[in-house]
Amino acid sequence: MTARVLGYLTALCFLSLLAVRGVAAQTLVVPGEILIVLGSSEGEGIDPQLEKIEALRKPPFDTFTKKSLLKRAEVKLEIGKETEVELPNGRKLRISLLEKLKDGRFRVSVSINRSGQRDYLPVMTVAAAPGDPFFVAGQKHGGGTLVIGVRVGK
Amino acid sequence: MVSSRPKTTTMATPIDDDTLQRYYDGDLTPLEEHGLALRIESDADAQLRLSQLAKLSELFQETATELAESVDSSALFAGIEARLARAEPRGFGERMRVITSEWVEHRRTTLVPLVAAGAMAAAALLVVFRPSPEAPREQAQGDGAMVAAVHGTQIENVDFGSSTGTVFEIEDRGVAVAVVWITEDEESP
Repeated sequence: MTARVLGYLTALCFLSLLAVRGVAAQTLVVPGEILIVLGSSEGEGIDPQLEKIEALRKPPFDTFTKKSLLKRAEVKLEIGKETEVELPNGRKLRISLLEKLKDGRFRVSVSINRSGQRDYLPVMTVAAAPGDPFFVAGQKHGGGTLVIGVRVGK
Repeated sequence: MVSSRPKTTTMATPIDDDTLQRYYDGDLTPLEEHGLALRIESDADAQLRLSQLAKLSELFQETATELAESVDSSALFAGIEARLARAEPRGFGERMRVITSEWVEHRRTTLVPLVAAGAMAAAALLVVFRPSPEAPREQAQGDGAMVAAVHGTQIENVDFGSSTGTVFEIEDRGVAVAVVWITEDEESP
């Protein structure tokens, strides 16, 4: 009898747990960070805010003797909503949170284009662990190359 | 007129429990094993007892890990002994049934409170530590502590459109960092 009651209690607890998780899943909002860096072969030095990003000191980014942080944008990503960040060259980076994967990573889609155009980076999909960055680089700007770092979650 | 002949049957010596257990454990010599396998093929009772042995073994393996830290083995064996004494089982099969039922009963009484306590604790944690509306709600979803964390970033697909580009990975403190490099020869207007 006691075991049966405990069994019912267990089932009740699991159902409550699922209900709480279900409500939370519908309102998933994840913080994100966009870094817009200008890499250049003229001059030297790295912005102090970029010093901790080891990846930027590795090939191919190490070919840039100078790295300046042009913009840092904190964003909130929400499933079903697109977030836009304006780039220095007039294009827009558009990022959308698609889903949270079972392994804890986030699936996001990223595109870079001018408004109404679809020429530079139509779309890419990335699976990103919380806090780990990925980069989109190659756009020419101001005598250097833009390196865009994206971090999803913390 | 139909003549009837008396039916003759040969009674083979029953396979004893110990031999069957050693057969199941793989402790017999190859010759003994081969001979016993032939006998088991035509012995329904031995087949039944063998399947019970397999079932019991499977049951033990299945629960050994989850109970490794929680089971009170002394209580379990005391329970089995007491149950055997009460039931006074005659055959092998009956003994197996007594042991299995005691094992199942022990599992139920040991695990149910543990699982219930764990679930209640998890639910309580979710309620107590539910983040405030200002805090990032990402934490509220939780991600299941049982899932191993996967690090790094991975490009799943890229549509370069009319551009050309490369996808590669670099390492940052042992974590894979995905990079998409899109070739652009001239600064865009």
